[in-house]
Formats: sequence, structure tokens, C-alpha cells
Amino acid sequence: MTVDGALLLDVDGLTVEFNGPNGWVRAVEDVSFQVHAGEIVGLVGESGSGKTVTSLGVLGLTRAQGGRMPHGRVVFEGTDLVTLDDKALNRIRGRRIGMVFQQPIRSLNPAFTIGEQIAETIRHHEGISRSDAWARTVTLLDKVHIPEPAKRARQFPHEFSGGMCQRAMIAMALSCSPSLLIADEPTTALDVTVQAVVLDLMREIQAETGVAILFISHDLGVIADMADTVAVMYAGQVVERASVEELFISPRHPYTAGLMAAVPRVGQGRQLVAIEGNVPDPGNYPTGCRFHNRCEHAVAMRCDTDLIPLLPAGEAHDSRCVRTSELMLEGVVVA
Amino acid sequence: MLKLVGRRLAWAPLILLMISFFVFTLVDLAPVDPAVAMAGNNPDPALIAQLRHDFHLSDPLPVRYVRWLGHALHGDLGNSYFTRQPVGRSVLDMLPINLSMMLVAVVMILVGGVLLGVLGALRPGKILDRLVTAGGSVAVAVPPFWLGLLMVLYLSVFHQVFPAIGYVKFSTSPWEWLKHLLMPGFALSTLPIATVALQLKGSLTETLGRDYILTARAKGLASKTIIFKHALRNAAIPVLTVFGLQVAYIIGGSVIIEQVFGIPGLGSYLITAAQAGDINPILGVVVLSTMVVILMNAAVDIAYGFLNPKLRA
Amino acid sequence: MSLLEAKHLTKRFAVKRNLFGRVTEWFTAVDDVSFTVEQGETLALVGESGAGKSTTGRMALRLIEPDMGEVRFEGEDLLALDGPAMRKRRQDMQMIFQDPFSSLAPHRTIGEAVAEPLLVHFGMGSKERLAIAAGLLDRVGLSAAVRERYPSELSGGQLQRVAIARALTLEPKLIVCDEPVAALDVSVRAQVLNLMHDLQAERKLAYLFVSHDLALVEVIADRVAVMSHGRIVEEGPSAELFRSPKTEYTAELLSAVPRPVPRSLRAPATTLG
Ligand SMILES: Nc1ncnc2c1ncn2[C@@H]1O[C@H](COP(=O)(O)OP(=O)(O)OP(=O)(O)O)[C@@H](O)[C@H]1O
Ligand SMILES: Nc1ncnc2c1ncn2[C@@H]1O[C@H](COP(=O)(O)OP(=O)(O)OP(=O)(O)O)[C@@H](O)[C@H]1O
Ligand code: SF4
Ligand SMILES: [Mg+2]
Ligand SMILES: [Mg+2]
Repeated sequence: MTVDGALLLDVDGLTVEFNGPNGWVRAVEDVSFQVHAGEIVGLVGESGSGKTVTSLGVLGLTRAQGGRMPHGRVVFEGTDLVTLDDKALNRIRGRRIGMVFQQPIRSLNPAFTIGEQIAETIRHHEGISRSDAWARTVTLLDKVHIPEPAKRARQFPHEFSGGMCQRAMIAMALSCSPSLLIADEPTTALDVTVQAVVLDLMREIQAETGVAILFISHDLGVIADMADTVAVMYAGQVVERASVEELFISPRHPYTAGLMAAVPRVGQGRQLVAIEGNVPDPGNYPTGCRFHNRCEHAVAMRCDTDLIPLLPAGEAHDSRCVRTSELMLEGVVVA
Repeated sequence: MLKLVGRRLAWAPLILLMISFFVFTLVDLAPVDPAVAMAGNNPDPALIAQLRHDFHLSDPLPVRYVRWLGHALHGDLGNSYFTRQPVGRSVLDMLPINLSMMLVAVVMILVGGVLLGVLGALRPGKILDRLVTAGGSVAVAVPPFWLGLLMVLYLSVFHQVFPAIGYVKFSTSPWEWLKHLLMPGFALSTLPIATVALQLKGSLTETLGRDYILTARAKGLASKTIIFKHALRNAAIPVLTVFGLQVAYIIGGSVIIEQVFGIPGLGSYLITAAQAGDINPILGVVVLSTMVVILMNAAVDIAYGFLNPKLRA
Repeated sequence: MSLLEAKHLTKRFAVKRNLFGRVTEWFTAVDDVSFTVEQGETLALVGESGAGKSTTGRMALRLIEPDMGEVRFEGEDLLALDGPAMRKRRQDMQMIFQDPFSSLAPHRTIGEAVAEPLLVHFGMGSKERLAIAAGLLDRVGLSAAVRERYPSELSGGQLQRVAIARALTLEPKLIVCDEPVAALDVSVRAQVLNLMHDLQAERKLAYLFVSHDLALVEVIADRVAVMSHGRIVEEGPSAELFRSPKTEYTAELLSAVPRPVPRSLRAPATTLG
């Protein structure tokens, strides 16, 4: 897929800190990526790598969680969201940027019906009448393929299955026709078959409405399935950015290549390819390249001393590795 | 949910039966002989015997209880041995006084408890949170009658802000009614306010960390809407139980508070009767307050169903 | 004779009770399930959430009492054993859970946790126990320093190694693993699976491997049993089952697995089915 839309979201040097027992800890540091109109950008990384913090940081929601944003710009539709106060942000949240979370059932308020929660969003942002908002809610539920939408709108979250809750969440996120949808692991809590249905739905809606999607997942398979371009995160940083094809054919960062090698493949025998060591915690990130104590290509004095910036590694391809140009790494797809 | 309420109410007759029998036995065991008390200062043994006979006081306890029960089931709670007034009438006459006191206290608990609970939950670990926790812990330890006495002393005797004693009917003057009830209501509700506030603070803090609150924020809702609409409704569920218990506590506590503020309510009536072993008024008050508590619990059950749709079936 | 033989296992759970506590509605979580596990092999139990995989795994160890059916371990009828005999048998069969943290006591050091079964089963002295635990922790690739630490101080991957070490203390013949790597990061997952595989080869261990990750099961299991709504709908050698699934359900399950190949690069035929 080509990226020909206008620049919609430009995240540049986003850094988020949380107050821990030993002072401020950087959960996310110098994260940069772009989303163009109508594009699906995949954000992939392991648990704790900072995917959720990044997505919440974009909406200024880390403040409510006790985080602060000492650096960075988040330019969305021409406005730097970092400079806005909560009141101004509330006109963008839910209206221009919709959000879908990982735990569909827990993300809906158990005390209100599904319909009430969707209609509330519409009424809040558009100030239309109760009955108009309700009519649109039912249409939206129908659009995400919920059977008998008029009846289902009057039901509570506990009367929905996980997959149906997630569809309702998608309907809610899209209720004010946003230009960007942020989906944070939208299918991680679902069964594979339900996941397939929800992913199909998201693709269908994307094609129909042209909404851009920031799609977060830890699953390379799902990312390969959904994304046009991908940013790989490790230990609070983006370590590689490229188009999905390029990334899976020729990854340029050893961590990305390691993740791909760790995917079980038929015919490889029982021994899987592992990345040794553990994912470091924020506050304990190693100096220099954060991956150096697990990287089989690490070179002393080059990899473990200075902070490494994202370096160009090809056409619209960047990698946070000093040895990018020297290494020949293998992807999942043999071109 | 209505089924649940129905099931609870179905137990009510049994509860009333057990409580009345228990109280009956208890009064019988007390070392006060109503016949002696009725006979006055110079008890004449013949008069005492006469009184015993007239009031069937020599019958065995089960016989007397069943007789009382038989009358009670027909709506007749008997007369006071002393005033000869029918208990049913007296109790119903005084009920509005106690309901007024309860009403004022409950409003204070709701307003104070919710306000302090919300304020304490807004910024966990910050100054307001600590203030509510500290204030609550102190308030829980303050005996209500002591608080009442202090208030009478400072607000009525030293500075005449409030009338010290008595009760004025609402129909006579709503303003005076309220003025007479503010101090007793506050003395009664301090401990419940603190308990409810602390419970709500904890529950609300937890609720504000839930996933659906983040969803509400991501929808662009204002903090006010998030707290009072999305969070409070869920946070109130565990607090309801505590609230129900506190209302029962108020009913008990008002006996003493009536004494402190000289309010001629059921509590005073009960104490007078208890001192003389006058069993019918005691039973009347006990039966009535048990019924109020049972109705209160039913109201709490209904509120549960309102707040938690999973219970509606 | 198979190491483990489960026949017609059935388990019902109470859904609704009436006023008097009598059950008025049952839910059949596992319905007439039979399978065998041979010494040294891995049988994977796959299926959607709620299919009854965990319940089946637990019944195989008699951690849940089946309502009907039979479990034979080395030919012995487990359900006929009384308390002490069953306890003795438990040495041969262990369990590993998805969340290693919740299966370890928070205030006990890692060394003590791994050594505990030796105390419970043999009343072994503390020194001897800890020496054995040290050896096991070393075997699962944890440094000596870890022994003195508490569960909250370890990462998920390290904790799962601890759980494996603990399961190995009594030298079992069978380990039921309930989603042992589902909570682990991709980069750490392979380490744990490789360790499990090495131990299997070394000690002729059998695994009953409960998982919902078909891509993984395809590679690590000898045989696969597919569960749906409490029943085994299909069973067979892993390679065969994945190449040519016999039931609609399995085929659908397989086609839903997202493969790490970008959509635009997929040959239509590479989508497995
Ligand atoms: N409110 C918070 N307070 C303190 N630290 C936080 C907070 N939220 C996140 N963090 C820390 O920031 C780091 C990044 O977390 P984040 O949730 O973004 O990871 P993630 O990539 O989304 O992982 P997962 O796949 O588990 O969702 C983690 O180490 C986490 O502990
Ligand atoms: N103790 C219990 N009481 C009532 N129902 C139960 C109980 N344990 C399990 N169930 C039900 O039995 C069914 C099967 O549960 P089980 O845990 O075996 O499924 P599973 O295949 O392991 O699913 P998952 O992949 O979600 O772990 C589920 O519907 C579950 O709700
Ligand atoms: S910078 Fe060095 S350690 Fe880091 S990924 Fe590149 S080669 Fe490995
Ligand atoms: Mg996350
Ligand atoms: Mg399970």
C-alpha cells in the first residue's frame, strides 16, 4: 500500500516520565513516528516497551496517570497537542481521535448500557438531541455488525461477549468520525477466530471511512496483517521504522530480526531461536544501545557508551543501531 | 432484584417474632417488678397481688408472650401499665419526631459523606486525601453524646446560636423544626459521615483507576462528568452496605441523643418504660424500629439493583 | 501401556441454584473426553477460550475430581486412590501455570519455594533441600543470586523458570503445563520453551501442553488434540493435523492464525487452511 495521504500525526521526540520511588523514571524516551491520512501504522514491541504510554501520551492522558511529558511534540492536524490544556484536548479526544483499548469488557462502564455510552460521546461533542444521538448509535452498532442493534443498544456490557464489546468500542471510537483511531492491542484479549473477525472489521471500516489507524500490538503476525508502516519499540524507544514489507523482508535492527527469528516456524525442528537475557525495566536501562547486553552483534565501546539516535537505513527506513550498515539480517519473508 | 427484595421481606415476620420474643424474655429477667413499681411508694402487698392478677403478671412467660402476640397480630400493642395509654397510639405520635431526626441525619450523611469522600479521592496521597483520612479517623472515635453535650454547651449556652433543647413540629414552623434538629442530627451523623466518607474515598480511588474511566477520558468527557457520572455510580455500590448499617446505628444512637437534647421521642419513651419494667411500650418501640430497619434494608437492596445492572433480573 | 490414559472424562459445573441451594442448571465444561499421553512425548490441548482445556488438564492430575470417567497413570486407577496413596502418586505428576507469580508464595525466597516439595513429600532437612534446589535453579539457567530473592523481584521469564524448577524437584514423569508461556514476552518465550524441550529430552518427561497458540503448538507438540465446547473434535500427530485438518472447526481455527507475512506479500495459497 502506498502512503500518499497528508501528514496527520507527527510525533517527534516524545518523552514521558513517571514518578517512582527513586525519582522520575523515563518510561518512553525520544519516540518519533508519523501517521499519514488513511494509513495504518503498526506499533509493535514487547510488554513494557512503552506502546501504551506512547498512545496515551499522544492524547495527553498520561497526566491523569501521574506522568509528565518533559520533551517532545505531538503535532496533530497542525496543532501541537503538548501545548494544549485539558479543556482544549477534550475537544480532540473522542472527536478527532478515537481510542480502542485492550480489555473490551473492562473498558466499558458496567453501570450504563452500551447505547448510552456511545450516545454520550456523540452528544458531548456534537450537542445533538437525545433521539438523534440514539438513532446514530443504532446505525453505528449496525455498521460494526452487531445483530439487532436497536435491542442490543439497550443492553449492558456484561450481556455482551468480549468480541461484541470490542465491536461496540470500535463503534464508540468512530462515533464522531475521527481522522485518527488509536487501537491499543484491540484483539489481544480475544480468541483467534474472534480476533480475525475484529481485524476484518477494522480493515473494512478503514477502507470505507478512510480513517487513519495507529495499531498497537505485540504480535508480529497481527502487525503484518494490518499495518502499512511499522515502528518497532524496545525499552521505551522506537528502534526501527519502515514499511511493513521492507521490515519483514529486510529488518535492519538486530532486535527486530531477533523477534522475527523467535517466531516458531514449521520445519525448524523443536529448538526455537531465542533472544538471550531479559527485557530491562525502565530506570534500569543499559547505557548506550539499550539492547546491547542481549545483542549478538554488540561491539564493546561502540554499542555500550553513547545514546544512539535513529539512523537512516534506507528509503523511509530508520534503525537505532550503530552497525546498521554493516549487518546483513534476515527477515521472515525471503524475497 | 425484586425477587431478592421479596425474599428479604419474606423473612421479616420471622425476624419480628424472634426479636419480640427475645426482648420479652429479657425484660422478664430484669430485676424490676412492674406490679411493685405500679403500687407506688408504700406498697401494700394486697394491692401488689391485685395488680399482678389484673395484669396476668403471674402467668408463665410463654402464655404471656402468646397473649401479647395474639393482640399484636390484631394491631393492638397493649397499654402502658402506668399511663394506661395505648402503646400503638403513643408510638405513632412520636414516630414523626424520630423520622425527622433520621431524615436530617441521613441527609447530612449523604451530603457530607459523598462530598468528603469525593474530595479525598481526587488526588490520592495529597493533602486533601490525608486530611479526610485523619479527620475521619478522629471522628470515628468521638462518642456522639459527648459531641452533643459539647455542642449544647458552646452553641446554645455560651453562644445562643441554636436552641438547646426540645422539638418543634414541622407543621408549626419548618424553620424552628430544622433549627431544633440540626445539632442532634449532626451529633448523630458525625460517625456515619466519617465512616461513609472513608469507605467512599477508598472505593472511588479504586474506581478511578479502572479501565472504563480511561475510556471516558479518551472520549473527551470533562473530569466532573467522569467523577460524578461514571465513577461515583460504581464506587457507591460497596458503600451502600456500610450506609445501611449506619442508618441502623442512627436508630440506636438516637436514644441517647434524645436525652442530651431533651427531645420527647421514642427513645425517651423507651427509657422511661425500661426503668419501670413496663413491657408493652418496650416491645412497641422495638417492633417499630425493627420494621424501620427492615424497610431500610429493602431500600438498600433496591438501590443495589439500581446501581448494578447485573443484579437486575 | 500409556503413561497417562484418560477415558470419558466429564465435568459439570453448577450454574444456577434455587432457594435451597439445589442446582437447577448445569454447565458441562468437559464432555466425554478421552486421550493418552506416552512417556517422553508432548500432547497439546488447543481450542478457544472456555473450551475446557484447563479443566481437562486439572482432571488429568485429579486436581479437579471428574464427575465421570477414568484416569490411569502407568496403568493405575488414580480415582481409586485414597488420600495418602494419591499424595504419593503426585510426585510423578506436576503442574505449571500461566501466571508463575500467583503460584509462588510472595514472602518465601526462590530457593525455599523450589525446595518446598522435598519437605512436604520426604521431610528432607533444610541443607539437603536447598542444595537440591540450587542444582535445579542452575539447571534452568538462573544464577545463584536468585535463590535469596523473592518472587516480586524477578521478571516473568525468570519466574516461569522457577516454576519449572519447582515442578522438577520431585522428578516427575508428567507435567501438565497450562499456557506456560502465554504471559511471556516473545523474546523470552523461546528461551523457556527451549528449556522445557531440553529437559524433556534429558529426563524423558511427558508434557500435557494446554495452549491457545496454534502457531506455537504446531512446532513444539508431537500430537495435538483440538477441543471445542468441552469435547475433543479432532486429534492426531501435529504435522498431519496442521497439514490437513479433518474438521471444519480445526480448519477455521488454523486459518484465523495471523502469520507474520505482510498481507501484500502473501501468495493466496500461503494462507493455511
Ligand atoms: N502510570 C504509570 N506509573 C508508573 N509507571 C508506568 C505507568 N504507566 C506505565 N508505566 C511504565 O511504563 C513502561 C511502559 O509501559 P506501557 O504500558 O507503555 O508498556 P506496553 O508496551 O504498552 O506494554 P504491554 O504490552 O504490557 O501493554 C512500563 O515499564 C510501565 O511500568
Ligand atoms: N469452578 C468453576 N465453576 C463454574 N464454571 C467453571 C469453573 N471452572 C471452569 N468453568 C467453566 O468451564 C468452562 C471451561 O473452562 P476452562 O477453564 O477449562 O476453559 P479453557 O479452555 O481452559 O479456557 P481458557 O483458554 O480461557 O483458559 C468455562 O466456560 C468456564 O467458565
Ligand atoms: S547498536 Fe550494537 S548492540 Fe545495539 S543493536 Fe546495534 S549492534 Fe546491537
Ligand atoms: Mg500496553
Ligand atoms: Mg485455561
